[in-house]
Parts: sequence; structure tokens; C-alpha cells
Amino acid sequence: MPADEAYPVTPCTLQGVTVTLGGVPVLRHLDLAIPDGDFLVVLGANGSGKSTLLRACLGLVPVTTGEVRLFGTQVASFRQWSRIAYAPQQFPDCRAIPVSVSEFIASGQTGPSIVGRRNRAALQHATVALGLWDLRRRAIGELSGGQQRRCLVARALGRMSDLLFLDEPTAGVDEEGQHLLAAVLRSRRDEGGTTVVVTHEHNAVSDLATRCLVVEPTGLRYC
Amino acid sequence: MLSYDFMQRAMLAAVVVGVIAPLIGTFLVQRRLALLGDGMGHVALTGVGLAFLVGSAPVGTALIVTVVGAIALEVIRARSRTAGDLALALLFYGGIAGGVLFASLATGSGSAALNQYLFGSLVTVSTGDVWALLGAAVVIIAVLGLLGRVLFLVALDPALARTQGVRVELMSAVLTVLTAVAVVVGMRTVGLLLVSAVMIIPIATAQQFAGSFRITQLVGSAIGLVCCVGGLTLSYVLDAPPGAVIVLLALVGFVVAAIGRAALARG
Repeated sequence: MPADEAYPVTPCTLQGVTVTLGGVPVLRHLDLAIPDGDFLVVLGANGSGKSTLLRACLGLVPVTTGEVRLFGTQVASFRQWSRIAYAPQQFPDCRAIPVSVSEFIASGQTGPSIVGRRNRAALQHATVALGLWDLRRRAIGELSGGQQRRCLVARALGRMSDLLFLDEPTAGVDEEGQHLLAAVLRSRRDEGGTTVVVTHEHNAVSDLATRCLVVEPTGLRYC
Repeated sequence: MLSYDFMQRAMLAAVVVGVIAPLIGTFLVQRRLALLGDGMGHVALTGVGLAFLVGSAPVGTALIVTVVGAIALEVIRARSRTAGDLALALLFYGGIAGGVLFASLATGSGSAALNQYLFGSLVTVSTGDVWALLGAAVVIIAVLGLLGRVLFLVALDPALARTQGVRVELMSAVLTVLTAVAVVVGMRTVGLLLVSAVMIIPIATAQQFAGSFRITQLVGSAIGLVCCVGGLTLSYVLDAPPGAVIVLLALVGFVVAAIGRAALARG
């Protein structure tokens, strides 16, 4: 879904990116381009730097060398965040105040504008597609880990973004949930959306890959 | 009771703080900043002391000093290596020390005058105060209406907010400034040392039964209203400082709700 058909811009590029966390280099001189319509699956062992790679793409961790661009713009000066959606690995702490499932999913639709806009149809679609409709009034803290994980993905999907980053979307999700997830992501892929999925396991979602790469201590390896 | 002009003004001020304070408090509890209102209350004390010293209106002066303090707190947090709770502690100490020093340097107003602001007072709310409180309340509601969703996201998941283009530090500063304004709104009736309780206790009560953030916020606001109006009435009957009565009433409500929830869970 490029914004301008005449000038398709690569959604995400990394050039010579090194990320150092706590003095330890996690990623070393990585080059990666994620073209429009790609469904990239990033595999790797625990601690290999998969999540860090994703976070670097989003500008959430500083890069020591190299540069990250989103839709042609350096991530630090990137402003079109409505084109990006992200489902992090960590579920936020929702114990202080009860938050309902529908509130949680809708929280993904607060754009950079002062007044958050909502696309109710997109929210409803994401909620139904991931099997969360009947749970929508429940407090999210009462859900199982796998259900919470689906809520994270539904929140990101509800943004109707051009570029979607999912960090371990299937962790703790049962087989039925994984198939729901795979079905939604397949139709997204077939409609031309660009998706990056970080996972440590092969499953129904990683089967959707148009490209697959493994993060290793020596660098990236395509498989 | 409401045939007295001073009680009408006090009641109006109580209604405003009862409704407004829990609206802000919901975000503070979510962000684990339940004590932020306390810190802002201490800073407001410096504003009151300064007003005594220079002879200006306490509400207006406290508003300015507290908002400046709120911005200073956010700058300290964002720009230096000082941890959030440490920055808050610095404000606590500075606020009290400044308030006591300025009030003692001022001639003509002793500790009794300061007490009215520490624990609230029925008889000293002026017409000018009421207008200032109403103005502040309108500002708070307008900002919450505009930024409520963004503030919710920042409270829930700040890292994700960044990837949605939200300026997280700016929104934190907005919440701190709103807290500062709410503290000054509650200063005359509940008092600076206890106003934070009206932000927090009704929310603690509401969350015993609520299943969503919005319900917690709205029910909390309703509980705050009942506690402030009820507490003010009781304080008139008992001839006691309104702040203490309002807060004890709110705590009774919390205990009843907590027991009720435990009973429901068992039954």
C-alpha cells in the first residue's frame, strides 16, 4: 500500500547499523532493505538481537553507527507514524487501573495529532478477526498470556498501517489463535501490506514469509 | 447551611475539586505517580507563602508557582540524570521549606493563616477564588477532552506511544501541569496536604469494581463529588477542617468497597 504509486519508497532500510547495549555490541554493521509488500520473517535464538533489530527499525534504540530510514526519511526525523504499527514483545503493566480489551485495542489508534482519530471499522475488524470480540468488555489483566498477545497484535492491526512490525506475536498463543493470526496476516500480505515478524519458532505465521532471515552473531543470513 | 454566602462558595469549590481531581488521578495511578499530587501540594505551599509575603492573591500566586514547579520537575527529569522520585523529593523539601520561610517573613499572617491552606477552610473562600477555580476546572476538562486518548496511551504504554509519533516527555509534562492546576483547585477546600488524596482514593475505590479505565475514571469522579460535598457538610456540622473530614469519608468509602469486593469474591 504505497502512499504514492508513482514513487514507491522502500518502507524500511538499514545501512551499516551497529547497536550497542550496555557496552556490548548486539548488532554489527547490518544492511537490510525491507521492500514494499515484503513479508519478512526474522528468526534467531534467544538473545540473538532479533527484537533489538526491530526496535532499531523503530528508533527505539540508538544506533552507534549507520542509519535507519523509514519510507526514505531518517528515523529521528520521521513524522508519518500513522504509516507504522508495532506490537512489542512485552505486554504493558495493566494492573494499576483496569483496562478493558476494547480500550486496549483502541489505544493503538492515537495518532500524532492532538485529537486522536478512530477508525471504528478497523478496530472492530481487528478485534473480530483475532477472536477477541466476545472478550472485549473484559479487563485485560484477567486474560491469559496468549489472549493478551492477540490483543497486542489486534492493537497494531487496527492502525491499518503500511508497515507492520510484530515481535513474537505467537509466543504463548495456542494453535487455534495462531491460525487466526496467520489468516489475518495472510490477507494483509495478499493486499500488499509490508510486514516484519520476529519469532523464535517455525509456525503458521512464519510459513507466510516471502523472505526469511536469521540473526546470528556474525550477521544476517537469509534462508 | 447553604443560606450562608461563604458556604455556597465553599460548596461550589468542593464540587469542582471532587469532580476534577479523580479525573487527573486516574492517569497518575496508571503511571504509578500517586504521590505526584502531594509533591505539587508542597510546591503550592511556597506559592501561598510568597503570596503572604508580597500581598498578592494566594490562589493565583500558588497557581503560577505550582505550574512553574511542575515544569521544573519535568525538565529535571528529562535533562538530568536525576531519577523521577528523587526529583519529586527535591520538590517536596524545597516546597515546604519555601512556604514556611516566606510565610514566617510575612507580617500579619501567622501559622493560623497557613493552616487554612494546609487543611482547607469553610469560611475563607472568596468570590475571586471561586472564579479562579472554575476557570482552572474548565482548562483541565478542555485539555483532557483534547488529549485524553494520548494521555491514556502514554500512561499505558509509553514505548508504543513513541512509535505512534506521540511526544512522550511533552505529554508527561502536560499531565504534571494538570496535576499542579488540580492541586490549586483543591487547595481552598481540601487543603494542600490532603488534596492529593481526592485524586487518588476515589480511584482506588472505583477500581475495586470497574472493568475499564473509562468506568474507573467516571465512577471515581462521582465518588470524589460525593465525598467532597458530604465531607464539607459534615465538617460544617462538626466544625472541623473540611480536608480531614473529606479524606476520612473517602477512606471509609474505600474500606467499604474493598470489603464488599472481598465478600463478593468469596460469595
